[in-house]
Amino acid sequence: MRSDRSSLLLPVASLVFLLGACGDYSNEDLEFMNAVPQSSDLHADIPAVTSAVELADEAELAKQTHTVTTTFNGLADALVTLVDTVRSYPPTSRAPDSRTWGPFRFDQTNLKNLNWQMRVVVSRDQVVADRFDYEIDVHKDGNADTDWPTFVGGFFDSGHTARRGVGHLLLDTAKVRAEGLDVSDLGMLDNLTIDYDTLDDPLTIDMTIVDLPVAGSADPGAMVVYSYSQTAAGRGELIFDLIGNLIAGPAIEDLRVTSQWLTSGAGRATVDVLSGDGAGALQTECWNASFVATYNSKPWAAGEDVPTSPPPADPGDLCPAISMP
Amino acid sequence: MSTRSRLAAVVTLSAAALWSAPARADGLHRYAVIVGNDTGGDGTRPLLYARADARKVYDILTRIGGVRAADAQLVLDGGAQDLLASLAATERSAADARAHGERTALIFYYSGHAKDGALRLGDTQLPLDSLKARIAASPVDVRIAILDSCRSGAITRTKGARHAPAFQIQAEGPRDAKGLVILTSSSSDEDSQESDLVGGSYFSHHLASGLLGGADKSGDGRVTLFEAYAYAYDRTVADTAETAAGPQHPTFSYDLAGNGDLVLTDVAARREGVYLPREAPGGVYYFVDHQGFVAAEIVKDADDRRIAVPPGKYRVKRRLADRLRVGDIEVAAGQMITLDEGHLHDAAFSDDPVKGALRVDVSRWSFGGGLGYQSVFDAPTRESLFPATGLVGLELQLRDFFRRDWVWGLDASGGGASGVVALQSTTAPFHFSELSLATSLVAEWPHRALTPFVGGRLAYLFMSRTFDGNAFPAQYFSTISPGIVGGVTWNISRDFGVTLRGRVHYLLYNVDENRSLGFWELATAVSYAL
Repeated sequence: MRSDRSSLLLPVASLVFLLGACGDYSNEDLEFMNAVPQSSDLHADIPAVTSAVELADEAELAKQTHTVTTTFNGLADALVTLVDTVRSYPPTSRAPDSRTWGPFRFDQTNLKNLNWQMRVVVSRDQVVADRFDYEIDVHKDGNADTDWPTFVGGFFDSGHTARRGVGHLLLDTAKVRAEGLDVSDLGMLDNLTIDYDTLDDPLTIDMTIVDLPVAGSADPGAMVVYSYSQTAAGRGELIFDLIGNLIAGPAIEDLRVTSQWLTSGAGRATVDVLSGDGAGALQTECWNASFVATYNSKPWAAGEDVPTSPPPADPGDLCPAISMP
Repeated sequence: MSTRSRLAAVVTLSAAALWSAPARADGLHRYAVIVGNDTGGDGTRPLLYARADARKVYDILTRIGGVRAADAQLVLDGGAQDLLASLAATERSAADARAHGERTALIFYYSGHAKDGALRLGDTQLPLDSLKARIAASPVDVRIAILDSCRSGAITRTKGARHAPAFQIQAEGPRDAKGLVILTSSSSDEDSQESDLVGGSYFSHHLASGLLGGADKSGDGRVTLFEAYAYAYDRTVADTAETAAGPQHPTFSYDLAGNGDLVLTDVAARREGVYLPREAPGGVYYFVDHQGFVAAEIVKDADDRRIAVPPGKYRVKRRLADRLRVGDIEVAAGQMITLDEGHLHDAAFSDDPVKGALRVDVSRWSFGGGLGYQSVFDAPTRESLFPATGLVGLELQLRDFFRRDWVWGLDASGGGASGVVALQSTTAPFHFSELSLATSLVAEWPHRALTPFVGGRLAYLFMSRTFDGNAFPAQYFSTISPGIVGGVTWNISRDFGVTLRGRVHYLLYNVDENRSLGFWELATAVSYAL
């Protein structure tokens, strides 16, 4: 009878063991998750327009700067969201120097890419110390198991300080288009590159957008380059280059908008046609902390100048002095 | 009063009348003090069945022995002071009854250790001479002392104990009996032996079987003191003749004024149990209850027998030279079932329902709760992975279930703490939570005040953490963690104890890599015996 009772021990112990060891409790996972940028990391900050300012009174290029900044942040946010997904879920598999999320099926609700899968891989760079590489790969059912072209790739060099570092992010549609992935939602986008340095002062974020060539045109696709920098003291600069055949004619225009601002919101901007039709044309506009134009020189529309006439000999009195490192 | 209430009252009165049948028969108001203690302090090994024997005798005396439950004291695991206190309380009640003109009897039963002329009750002692003098001076008319302990015959030695059944007292008028009778399980130089086969001591087992009807040699349905003793003597000597410890001879001493035997149990008045008719084959009948106890071991001769086993299901066995006769019966409350050969069938010896190592269900549950503190040994791990944690816990324990002085426990605890993960480029503050479900098996060494224990424990750990601002998804880890546990319980009272324990556990962490970690726990708990 005693042995009958003792025999209870084995099944009880077995039952307990079935519950087994498992989980995603990992400090290393956090390191890999931390390597991908967050929206807040790649965000251009410009003093906002307050409600006290009538939008109609906002300086033209100040308004343009706000608009471009919004676009810039939206694009960066859209791209970051793709890779930031990994921060919401534990990895699916682990290797000593990498973590993999997926493969997952594409979102099936829009009936696109039904036979495609994707995965996110974050790995420690084996050459550069403290660098994490990451990529979003896609795979078409039936293709070779090794056929996982990269859709989005990047890296992050840890700066050993609070979420600071140097990173690179590239969304490239060329390979995946070639494989047949439907990326029509991205319009004419060929590739999008973000390089950022949040370690140094000023922090910088550069974004380059290259469109596909227009069908039937011999011109290369339009390219937009954003260069954003911000000092620790709060001064900022956004350089916006638009390259393309902007003015009808054979020449390719390179239009550069350089916008700078102080912490107060006061700023100045220039529109400079660097090349192509109208090369050499230059607009200069300055605004105060309320974003109201204090000076505007627009050669191709003299009626919009501020003050109207005569133009001051030295606009420096009407424009804030802003120097960026 | 409703019809149902009247009926209940009639039934209750009838039951009470049956209950007190032996007492009514000889006009004695019976009291009982029944003591069982498995432990005997230093220099003794714990007994297995002393308390169970006491419970068995208590049940028989209060069911068919004419002792009302209110007049019976059952002292389990008590010390000498507990024994004497119970005896004193009983004596006061008996003295009151006597003052009202009632004739009174005191039945004292003890099962436990005795050594060097003294009963050993845990860490306390009670000299046999002192006990004998105390009982002899009790303010009752008839005193019956039954001692089931090693060398218990020493208490009868000075009175010329005899090895029965050589002598008998002629029963002419039990109402006249006055004085002292002492039964012991062994002589003054013998050990009293326990048996896993019968689930008790040989002597108490056979005494109980005799009281249930096996000893009713006269066939009148009443078991007298001498019949019970003679039966227990014969069976005890026979069973122990071949044991390693050698034969055990019970002793009997009497100092009764007047003549007469005493009826100890009335197996006929209750009309409940098993009836073995005259024509039933002779031999030894074993009645095994549903828990595996041999409830009664009855020698049937040419006469019929009434066996007053309590209601329940029994497996009956009778052994023949070449096979067994086995059958199942059920005794309903208030019914006397006649057992004939039709109830039994042939069975091989391998199907013997009495196989030994029978279980004596003396297990006890206890419940408790307490506070603890847990910490991983490895400092870096403690700082960034599993922070040190305070715990609140509940536990349920079952003692003496698998084995004497083994405690099987189930416990659950939970707690939480804050921590910070230092990443390469940032820090991640988090809140840590842990839930632990565990089972343990420990051996303990009970002493009167302190009970040290040590054993093994197997815990299921569920640990999780959430990060401030949801910077990262919540994480969890669950695993099985074996460990060892040790500590000491301070027995504040019979039911309450305070435990201080330490645990050391192994923790296999296998998410990032396989790591063998360890952690320790310190806890204190208050427990209550259910």
